[in-house]
Amino acid sequence: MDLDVHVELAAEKLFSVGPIEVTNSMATMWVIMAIIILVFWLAARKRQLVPGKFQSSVEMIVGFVANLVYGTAGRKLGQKVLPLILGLFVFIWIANLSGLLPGVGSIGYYHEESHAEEVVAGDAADHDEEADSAVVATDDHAEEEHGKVLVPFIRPPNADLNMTLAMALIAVGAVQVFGIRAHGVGGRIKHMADPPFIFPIEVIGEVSRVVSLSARLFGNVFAGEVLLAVMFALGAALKIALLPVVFPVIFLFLELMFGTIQALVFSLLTLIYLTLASAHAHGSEHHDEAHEHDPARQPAPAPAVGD
Amino acid sequence: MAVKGAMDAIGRNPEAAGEIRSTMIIGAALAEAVAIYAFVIAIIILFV
Repeated sequence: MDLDVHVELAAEKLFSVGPIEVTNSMATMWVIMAIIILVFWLAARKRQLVPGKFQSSVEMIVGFVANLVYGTAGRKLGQKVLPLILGLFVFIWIANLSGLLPGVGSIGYYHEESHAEEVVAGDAADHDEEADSAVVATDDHAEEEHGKVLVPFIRPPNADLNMTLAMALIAVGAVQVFGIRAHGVGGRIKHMADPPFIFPIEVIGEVSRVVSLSARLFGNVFAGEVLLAVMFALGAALKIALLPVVFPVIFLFLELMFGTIQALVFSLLTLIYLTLASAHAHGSEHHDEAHEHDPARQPAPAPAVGD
Repeated sequence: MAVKGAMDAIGRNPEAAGEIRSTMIIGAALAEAVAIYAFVIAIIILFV
């Protein structure tokens, strides 16, 4: 069975504007941003008290996130963080769904490799795909696999670790900003060093939040892309009537679900971190009380490290 | 385990089924994330 699956870890370069290399992930991200802005602008432009179909469907998304935010963070803080959380959720959601469109990862141009490793495209792609790329992995770029490499025009933005890392940095940065705004710089440090020895653990916890948020989203979306590619290739390789069409549908559905859940998880975790960071004396009182009774609960940020 | 807990909770309090279900799904996604980290690290080691 010959599976023609091409896996590319980094986003591929399409063209460059000056010193900035525009990758396919970036291009897709711009398109998605334009679509989101356009949809929300259209929905808000002619808003009415009794909404039409279009307006109410957008309102449902906003209302869903607003309920979540107000339920977790409360009214006062919720109003401040709602734009961030709503933006994160909608963007990640639409971006994840963009990976399911037909043509994503399959429409592109063949990129001629000018590097020394000129392998004839075609049959070389078939056999030792894994072995091939393992050999290539010792080189600097995973790109020079074969003579020709398909560079897709569309690639889900979150299948690029840079993108998710940037979003996680924004999220955790916002956590610090809101924490400092609520308690002041000294208060924030005091908040983190509740028993003083826990401060280093808290700092590590903050850093690991960046890693965990970004790696989770990237891993899910990237794994989803690879899974879909493998399943389509597998379905095509089986060559049984209609099976290639029907077989991947299960996984498309799975990806639909995961895309939504991961968008929800990312924004919900950001929201929870924000709420924890800007919790007031009332919250820390609870905290004290809790670990007086139950010493096992003392390293409160530990779950954040794990997830 | 998480699903069992959720089922117990729904059985005890059927009105809250929707909320419990969504919380369960988020919890399951978080548990799954550990495997995803392993995958990400494996892929990065493989390709970089």
